[in-house]
Amino acid sequence: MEVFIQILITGIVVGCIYGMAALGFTIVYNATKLINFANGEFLMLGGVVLTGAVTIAGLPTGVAVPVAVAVSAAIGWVMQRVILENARHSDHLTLVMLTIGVALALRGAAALVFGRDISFVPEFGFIPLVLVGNVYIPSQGIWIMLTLAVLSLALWYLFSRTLFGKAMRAASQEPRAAALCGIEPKKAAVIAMIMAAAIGGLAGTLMAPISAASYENGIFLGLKGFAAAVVGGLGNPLGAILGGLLIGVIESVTAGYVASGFKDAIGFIILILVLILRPQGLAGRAVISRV
Amino acid sequence: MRNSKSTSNLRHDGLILLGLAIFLAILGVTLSNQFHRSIVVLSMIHAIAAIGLTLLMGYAGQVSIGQGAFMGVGAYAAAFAMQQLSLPVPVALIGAILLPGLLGYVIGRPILRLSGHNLALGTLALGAVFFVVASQWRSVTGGIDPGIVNLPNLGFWGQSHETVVYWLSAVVLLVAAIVAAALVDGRFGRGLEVLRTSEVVAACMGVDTVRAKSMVFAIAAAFAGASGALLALYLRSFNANTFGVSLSIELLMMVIIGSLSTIWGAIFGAFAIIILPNLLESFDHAKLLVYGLTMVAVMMFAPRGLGETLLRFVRSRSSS
Repeated sequence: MEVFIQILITGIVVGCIYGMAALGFTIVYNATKLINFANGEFLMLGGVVLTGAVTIAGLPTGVAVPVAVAVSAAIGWVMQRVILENARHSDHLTLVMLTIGVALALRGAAALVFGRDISFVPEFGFIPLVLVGNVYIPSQGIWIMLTLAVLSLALWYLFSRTLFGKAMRAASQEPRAAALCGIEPKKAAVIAMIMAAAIGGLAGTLMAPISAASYENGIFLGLKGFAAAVVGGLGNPLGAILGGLLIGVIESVTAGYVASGFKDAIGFIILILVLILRPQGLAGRAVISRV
Repeated sequence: MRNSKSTSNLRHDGLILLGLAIFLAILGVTLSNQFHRSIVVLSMIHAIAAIGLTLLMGYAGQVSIGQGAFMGVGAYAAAFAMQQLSLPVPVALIGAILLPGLLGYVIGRPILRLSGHNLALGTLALGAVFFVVASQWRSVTGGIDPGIVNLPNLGFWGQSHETVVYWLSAVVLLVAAIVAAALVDGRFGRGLEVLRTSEVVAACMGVDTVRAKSMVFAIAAAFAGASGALLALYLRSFNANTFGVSLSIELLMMVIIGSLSTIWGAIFGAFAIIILPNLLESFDHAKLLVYGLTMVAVMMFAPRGLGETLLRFVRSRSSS
């Protein structure tokens, strides 16, 4: 039983990271109906920039984390303004290929700037690890869970209680009507991308101490974030977080009881199955599209 | 649009095909340098998968980021058939075409009911699953180490392994090109072209859109399978790393460097993507960055493919 709870906690901690990756997809998808294949790279960037700032520049973690988040957010901003905005009238295939291209370029740039080695940073510290009976909750794990909790509350408040959030939601539901009310869809798209990049960067910094940061991390993290977003029903922020937790726990249980080698595959198999069997997500209602 | 003058391109395609066959034959006879020969063989092998991907992307407007996985399925199927079932090479090759094709149909059919990005997502996941399975399922794949080793030497009648694979690949490439050209030129291809522009219009005109899309996905997978099997035959030993995400990305690059509207672009793209890294030393270092920036630039300024856009530019210049 203790082993099971320990595995569960590991899964929840990882699931929080997936949930944050999924939030990024969801926010961008809601604003622009675009699947951003570069979203996983924001997590990768958060990790490698933090590592670079700590090990190369010698910054303390408290400074390096905001730096990493800011770098990631700035890249999201550039990506939206320079590339996606100019191509927003392109067909779907072109847009998907553009985000894949950005993902590749970011991966390549990270490999050139920070090298191809994997590297670790020290844990954030400050919060002590908690021991309940024989079950450990690691300090970094508490950081991750707290961050996701605070982040979810902040986003919930932002999107449902502020005029800004209402404007963003309006722009996503009915861009033309929103534009008539003076909300600029372009601006909403930029803000959404910056938010996704910042959340991704933050998630990347949080997980850097527990799993090594490497330029290659983006593919798998992105894909798992995707899986979480799709499982929770694409476009639903709460679903994204729950989907992330679900996939994290399932992965962790698979690694603990079945075979650790297949851990990575299980999330993707879930993604394929959900896409095939319940494309609206596990909890979502089927959408009937009229033409 | 394409085909503005006549409804059939077969004559035009036939000429290109003949030219390609002669070109490959001359190369096959004259190239004596082992290294140059291996580059041509690899280009031909990858071109087969790239032609399949062009059908999918250029004609059906769907992105697949998992073509490398289908190549892998073909490669492992061929290896399994030869080593564990002791089947002859032609049978193994056919198996390596059918299995990925079937797999593609089974996966594509339900996913393609949904439109848009879902196939890209599904194929990316598929590629990742394939990699994990290929590196873990040791009884069939041999894992990462040793992987598949000691596939038979195909040399016979005094011809070396290299030479035999050269001609085999050339023949398969030409057959693949003929099949693709015939498909595209007919009713099926025209249906796909309408489908790319608008699924609604295609459906209204009586094209079974889901069936057409899953068929073309299955065909692309089968082409990839053939390509993977040939690669396995040529290399004689390989492991899961050969068919990772980077292979899928290179196949995407081949298509967009060539053309998204004709299958001939894929052959050009395959040669370009295989030859360039070998010419430029230390290219490996910046490969990902260069690929990424190229993809962004091509998609922004020449979304029908680089080769095609350049060709059109030259033509419009010379005709005016």
